[in-house]
Amino acid sequence: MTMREKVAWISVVASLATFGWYFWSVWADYSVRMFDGDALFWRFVWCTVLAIAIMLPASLLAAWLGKQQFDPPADELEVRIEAFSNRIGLVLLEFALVGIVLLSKTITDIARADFQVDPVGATAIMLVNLVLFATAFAAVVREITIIIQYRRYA
Amino acid sequence: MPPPPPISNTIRRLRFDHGEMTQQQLADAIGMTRQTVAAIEQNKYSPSLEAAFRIAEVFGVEIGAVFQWKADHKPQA
Repeated sequence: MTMREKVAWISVVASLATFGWYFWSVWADYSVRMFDGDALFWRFVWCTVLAIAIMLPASLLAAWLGKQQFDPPADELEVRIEAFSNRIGLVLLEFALVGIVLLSKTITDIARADFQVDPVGATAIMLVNLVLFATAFAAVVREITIIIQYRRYA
Repeated sequence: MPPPPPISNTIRRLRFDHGEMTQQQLADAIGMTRQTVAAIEQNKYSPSLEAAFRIAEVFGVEIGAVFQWKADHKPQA
């Protein structure tokens, strides 16, 4: 397995674990109709730090165990795989962002109905988290596409 | 999955003829990963012209001795 494929696996697992937990917690807050923007912000920061703290040592360990370079220069097949995967991720992100913009009216209505204390704040929190979710989802799909491509050529 | 490229190659035989050169040794010689060499050898990936020349150079043969175009191949519409 190439180092780039290992990094993709590590990235997918770490992202699903940390950001999966973060977005589950956002959903849990939404379910009880109680958002705390400050708490969510710091939760997100900690999840990001945790994801990096998992990915970096895991990648270094994988390189060490496999006696491989940590960040080797990509060859032409790897460049092609990454370009294709980036394209898939970008298209997905574009569609998701347009979808969020189209959903914004519905989100505002939900905030007005369910978060009457602070509908503006709730709207902002929901929109920001939807954008974060779209970004994380596109990134995970990109990494999964990298893995699929490597498996296809293996 | 896209169909394999209409190109065959003799890399496996050339490696055998060069003292059972491993895929890793060939990969190191042309600056690629072993996985990319394996994909080229199994005809799952068509290398760039530069990589094809590099492979031929390693074996000391003409590029036509490494890669062969399948003349009967009809391009898909």
